Amino acid sequence: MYISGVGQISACGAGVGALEAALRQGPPTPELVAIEHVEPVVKVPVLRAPAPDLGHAVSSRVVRRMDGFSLGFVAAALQAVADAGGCETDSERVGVVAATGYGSLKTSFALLDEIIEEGDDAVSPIRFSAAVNNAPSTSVSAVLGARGPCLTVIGFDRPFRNALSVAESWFRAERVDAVMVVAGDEYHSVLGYALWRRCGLAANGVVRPFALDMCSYVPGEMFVALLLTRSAQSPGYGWVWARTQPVPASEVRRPGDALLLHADGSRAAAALQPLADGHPDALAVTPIAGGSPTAAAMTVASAAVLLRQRFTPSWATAKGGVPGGLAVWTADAATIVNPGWHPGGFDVVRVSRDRVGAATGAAQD
Amino acid sequence: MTDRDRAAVVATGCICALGATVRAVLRELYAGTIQTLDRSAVRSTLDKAPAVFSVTAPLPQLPLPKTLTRTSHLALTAVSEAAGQVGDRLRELPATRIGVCFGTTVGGTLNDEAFYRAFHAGREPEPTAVSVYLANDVATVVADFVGARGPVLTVADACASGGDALGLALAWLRQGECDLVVAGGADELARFAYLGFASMSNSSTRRCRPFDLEREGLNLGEGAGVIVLEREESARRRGAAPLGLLSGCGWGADAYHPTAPHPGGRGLRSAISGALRDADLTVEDIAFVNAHGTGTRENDRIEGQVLADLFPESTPVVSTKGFTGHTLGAAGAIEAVLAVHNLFDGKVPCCAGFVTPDPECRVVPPTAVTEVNGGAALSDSLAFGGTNTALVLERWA
Repeated sequence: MYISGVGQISACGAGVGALEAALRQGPPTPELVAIEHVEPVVKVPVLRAPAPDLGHAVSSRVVRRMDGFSLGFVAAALQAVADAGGCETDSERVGVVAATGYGSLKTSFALLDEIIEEGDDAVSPIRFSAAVNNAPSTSVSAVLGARGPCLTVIGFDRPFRNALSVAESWFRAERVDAVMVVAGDEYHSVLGYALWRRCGLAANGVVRPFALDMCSYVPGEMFVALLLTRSAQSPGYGWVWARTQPVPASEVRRPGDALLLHADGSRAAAALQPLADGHPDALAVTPIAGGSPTAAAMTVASAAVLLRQRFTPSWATAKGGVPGGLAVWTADAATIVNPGWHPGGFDVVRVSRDRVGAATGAAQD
Repeated sequence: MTDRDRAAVVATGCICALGATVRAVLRELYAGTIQTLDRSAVRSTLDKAPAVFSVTAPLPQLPLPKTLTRTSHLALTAVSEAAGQVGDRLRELPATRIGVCFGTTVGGTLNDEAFYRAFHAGREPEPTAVSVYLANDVATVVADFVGARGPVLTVADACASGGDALGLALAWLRQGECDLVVAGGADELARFAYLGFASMSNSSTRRCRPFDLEREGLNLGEGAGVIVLEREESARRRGAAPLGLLSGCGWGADAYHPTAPHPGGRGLRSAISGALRDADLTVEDIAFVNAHGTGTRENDRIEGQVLADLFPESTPVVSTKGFTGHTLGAAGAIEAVLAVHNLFDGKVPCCAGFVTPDPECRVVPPTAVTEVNGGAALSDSLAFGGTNTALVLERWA
């Protein structure tokens, strides 16, 4: 699968240019956001995404029933198409896979607010349909006119990796010629409340990805889109593979690959310690957008940008560095590693400039 | 396997309003037993409270170290039944060669109303509900239960989730990702969904009547359906006696509207033709169709027209939702379980609730148990947002 276009909306702004700028200059500063319904006021650090702006790209008739969550997916998908210079593929051969952890939290809880405040008969049918987990994928499908397979993958450990593997299986079965993989999660006070009560937040609001023995998690909002195509398109980013099986530490990194650890400051990220110890040149870019079940998509998108633009942000290394400090990127591929969902294995995604031999034992193409 | 090979159905499990095992469900299905509609399973203050089909049997106690949601509990009840039929196979295969793919809708949402009411009121409740939600990704729960360490994925495509999970499982086997997949769907009744469907005026206060002229809407249900799939050549080599085969899956998106199906049913047509092509079969090979048939005005009209256009008039089209209710993320899986058993038994049940044909639907479902002789069946699912999935199942031969 070839990454032909990238789109994103996150705390570092909207568009692949904003992502590249954040990678060059360093991560944004989290907002301190008050948790609703908690007195006295408690504020938690959040890396919030700006409201999606579709401009005039889509008619108001099409978007009027979408909530902000679906709009985030749609906006990122449209950016990815624009970044690729268009998607001239038979609409029945274009698939959509969306990944999310929590789904549309804001709409779901707004619906519960309606029930609590106004009664059982006050539920808005538009709000209900927007709260269904597959609303983002079908919204993307409708806006792009993509009439191939359309699926939504959910989960808390690996939804983005799974979304990539679904896309890969469609390519291999020759069901599609292009797939829009979109991933996203949003912040809600319930999430901040649960993290606060469970002491699951960064104490000083700073994500410290390599301080794996401490919790430095900052929840982030992000919507990421990768337009994947069967063949390479210029300029594009590179080939991407997702391993469906957990990979042991000894097999994670191929010689010469850059290594990006998806270390998001959560306690689960402690599982990455052996890789951080064994690979002092590893990078972690999680501070640019924060943590969420689908934040691995941002790390993969970042890897794609770094691979194309060929720079290494010094702030993203274990040693740290001055924001804006850059080194030359020399690798022809990047391996992105997530903590595995069970001991002894890691979730691995690989982005490579070359197609042949790029996967690490997994199914290719 | 190759990209056109079939997967053997080596075990099934099911729980729904009709019963807590496949055998119990089939007995009631063929007897035409319609469960009493439940008006108390979901409490509400609605003036016209829609009726539902609930699972009234107590769910089995399971020796698990964590709190299960009802969706997970329903899933594991059906998985237990299926696992009992393939326990040896589950034990002898390496854990990394066993996959789990499950669909859900309600089970994938954080909608614990008691917790949220307390939070909303500023009472600062323990966030246990959030912890329970995070610990109940249904595919992960099932994988832990059966000891699977291969690919594990939860799909949430509203009413097509269960069918989608089976389609993805078939792809995993064909592409060598694993040797055995526990696949299915599960969903519980929840006020959140109940009030949501009521707000859309497409759920009925009376019994649902799929494809009937007088249909008024759907009845929500709950349950789980599970199919254990194995690579066909592996099942043949070890002399297994599978119930049937999953031989094709097709997907098609309407790309049209958040809730209404495309007027021409274009996504469904694409899904059905794709599934038949994937199975290397034609419409003449299909002995019957287990339709989505929710009992809503629009779904049944569009689906009926598509099925009437594509299939010979003699092909029975049956909806089993008049027996089970609409079990959302479980529906596609439960209906695939029923379809494979119906093929094996050579008969389909009546279409409960159907009495008077609707000329706009253009299909006339059976009103009594009907013999079927062909070797293949099609089961289709339509979901919010225009997601359509079709599965082709075959008799083992």
